Amino acid sequence: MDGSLVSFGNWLQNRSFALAVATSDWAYPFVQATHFTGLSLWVGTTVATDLSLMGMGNQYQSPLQLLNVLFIWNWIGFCIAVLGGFLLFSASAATYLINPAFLVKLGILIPVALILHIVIQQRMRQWAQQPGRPRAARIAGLVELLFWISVVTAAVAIPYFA
Amino acid sequence: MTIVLSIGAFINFLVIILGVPRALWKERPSGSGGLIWWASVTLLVAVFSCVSLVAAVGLASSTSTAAHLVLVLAVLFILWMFFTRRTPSHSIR
Repeated sequence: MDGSLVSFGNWLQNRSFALAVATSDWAYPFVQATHFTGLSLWVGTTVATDLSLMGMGNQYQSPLQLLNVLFIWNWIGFCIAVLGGFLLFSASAATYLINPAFLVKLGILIPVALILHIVIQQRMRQWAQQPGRPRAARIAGLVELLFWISVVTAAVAIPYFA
Repeated sequence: MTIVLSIGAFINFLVIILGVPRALWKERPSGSGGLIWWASVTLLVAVFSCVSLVAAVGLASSTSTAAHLVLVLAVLFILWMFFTRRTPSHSIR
């Protein structure tokens, strides 16, 4: 199985778009900056909502009102982050596919955090009908915050396992 | 063990690639802009879920017991979260 994954990585990193990113002097830093911009937008809007769920920040605006304002920007950030992330991954896919930090980040942490994010966005309406901040909402906000901190930590650890 | 964990990773892949666009469809902004927004998010969710599947299969094929255990917990957690969520009664916007 490991061999076929590395073969897939080699195939992907030899596609023309991946070679263009990997060999150009300016493309890789530009794609990296794009990825970080999307990531900042995605994680920033998500953390703002999580902190609001935990009862921090502006008390005159409910988490649901904050979500309504940030919802579109949140998912635009996701799109930019995934687009940039895929191009960075494809530039040296075979190396990433044997990196434990990358595998944990992409194979476990982000899928769990993404589904948790969707579930929280759907439950928020239900929580908004209850007085105050329900304990479940505070815990969900904290857990999601911890997951995104873990994702960022795993991302930072990738070069150290290379 | 590798095959069982790979099947779990594939189930996660299906939950993400089918579940996330379905959940966002109900909450998309109105008008053609909302449709374009939803299509873009769906396309990139598909890209993400494919790379995530490859990474999860990479973990499943590793020899680390800890990686296997965490992957099993992640699969169970995702299935539990997704299948116990409530569907919203009206759109956000």
